[in-house]
Amino acid sequence: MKPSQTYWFDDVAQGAVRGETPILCAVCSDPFKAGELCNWLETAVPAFDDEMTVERISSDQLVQRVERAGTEARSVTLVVEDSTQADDKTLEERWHHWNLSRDALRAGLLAPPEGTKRTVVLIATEGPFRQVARRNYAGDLLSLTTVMTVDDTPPAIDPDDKSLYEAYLSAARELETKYPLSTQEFVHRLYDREPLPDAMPKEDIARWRDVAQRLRGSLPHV
Amino acid sequence: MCRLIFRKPPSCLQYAGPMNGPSDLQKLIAACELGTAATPSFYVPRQPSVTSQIEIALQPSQSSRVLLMGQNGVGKSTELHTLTTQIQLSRPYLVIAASLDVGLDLRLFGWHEMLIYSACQFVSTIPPGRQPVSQFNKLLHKFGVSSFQVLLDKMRHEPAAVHAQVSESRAMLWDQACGLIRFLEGIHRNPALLIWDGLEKLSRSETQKLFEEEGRYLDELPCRAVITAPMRMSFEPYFTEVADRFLGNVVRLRAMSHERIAQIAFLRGLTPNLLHIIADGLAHANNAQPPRHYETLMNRLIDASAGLPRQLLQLTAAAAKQALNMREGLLLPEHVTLAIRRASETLRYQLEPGDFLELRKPDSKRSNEARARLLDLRALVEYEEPEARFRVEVNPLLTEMLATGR
Repeated sequence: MKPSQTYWFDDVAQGAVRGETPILCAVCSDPFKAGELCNWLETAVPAFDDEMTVERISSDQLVQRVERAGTEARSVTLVVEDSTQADDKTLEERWHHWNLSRDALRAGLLAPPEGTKRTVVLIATEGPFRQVARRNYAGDLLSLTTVMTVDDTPPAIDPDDKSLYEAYLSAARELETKYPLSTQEFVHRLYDREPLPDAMPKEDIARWRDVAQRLRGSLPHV
Repeated sequence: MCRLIFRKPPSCLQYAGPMNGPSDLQKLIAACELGTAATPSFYVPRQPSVTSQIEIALQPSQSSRVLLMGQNGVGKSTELHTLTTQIQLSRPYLVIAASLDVGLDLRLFGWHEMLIYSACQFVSTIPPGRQPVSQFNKLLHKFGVSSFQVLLDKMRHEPAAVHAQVSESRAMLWDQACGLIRFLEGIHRNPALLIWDGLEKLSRSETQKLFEEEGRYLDELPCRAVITAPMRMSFEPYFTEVADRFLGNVVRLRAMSHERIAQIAFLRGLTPNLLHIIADGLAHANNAQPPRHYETLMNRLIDASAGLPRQLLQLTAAAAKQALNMREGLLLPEHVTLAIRRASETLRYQLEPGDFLELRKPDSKRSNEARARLLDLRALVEYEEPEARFRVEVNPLLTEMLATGR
């Protein structure tokens, strides 16, 4: 069974900044893509939130680094680049250890002061992660984790998915009416750093960017 | 399926009141925070009351034991927390409670380690000068430590070393741990009650090792005990023997009915909060009357929760965060859809191709082994069913995947 939806690298960056859970697991197809995602996050996360820094750490450092992060009042995304790179035995030991440490991880990531955002992104590859998931030796940790299947090419939201596609399309149309600009033109200006309409508040830029990302590749041509 | 009818709550129900303002979504997320479920004002008693069943089963003698079985997220810890609170108020027993799944390596540890851990954990809460260090010098010496707190740390961080040391002197260490419990009973002038939570996380082989192969140690526990176990164990061939050790005192906690989980949604403020988010958002956006939109959304979340309180809270928080991320002041159906899909993503990785074949079968055609695995993964959920022995259904998080094949 294939994953239900594939996310883009930027979704992971956004998840690190405004995610549903403080722990994310980004599952890439292979180690090469995983490496590219790590590089991407170093650039993209600060672009979403300039107060947030990105640190690449190894699996062995995770628990201690999170405990330390809990005592620091600065926003940080900890990218664990080798979370599934290990032999079977080490893989089981590692994820079992994280599972046992899940409360400590959450406590460190959610520690005060309010407004300090700390996130862990576990970078995984599909085969080993499937093994971790099926053998269920980190079930509790996974239940607290947002799992995202990730690819570097922007996939489209399925236009046949009426419940979601129509809603996003209607949001895009609303913004297109509000600002005399097509969504394609908006994205073009955003990424090429061309001027956006003066009256456009940050909130609308962020919202339109989100909507455009979800609709990427499946916007009907007007 | 019975639908939730929104009505004025019964007077016995209380909630914190509607929450207004721009941070309603954040408040909704905060109300879903895990770990607060055991707060008394959020507690929705089961029918019949689980805590009463346990208390009655514990009464006869110090060898009374209760086995509490249930899936992850079904509310066992909440029931045990409520039981602990009740007992601490009425004081029939000295409660020695431990969440054994947090920090302890249950792949290695058995009843001996659990007993030592629980006793030492309780003793370590006594002021240092009054701790019985000299009386239990042998116990501490065996592990090469000077205090109960250091021993607890060692159990968490060096489980293999501790397990090896326990294996060398099991009888002596069991005796010492029993002595510690007696000491605690003496200073508190109350019989002890062990509450061991978290054993439902054991794998199949670990469960068998503990409850079947080493089940005899349960008979030798020095006091009353309530012990959790995975729901799956009730399908194992050795289960009758285990149930006998507990003198038939087996309490199965199953997923809640739609109405009961709706009560939890109300008590935790999810329903009233959602109403305000929808009402404020719509009034602001369209100057419209709040429709029955929120009922549909709340019902959808409740349906998707599978009767498991933890799943309800996680889905509601995820949907609210989707709304925040999309800069909407309003919770919309697509946020709920995305939250459900996100939650089902982990299950997609956890399930083997063979599991999908089993999920498509009626429960009567499933093998015990397949049912046990799927219950462990929460791909199957066992529901409250007073009329029948049990009713097992596929977790609604998987409905879309099974219907569309993707």
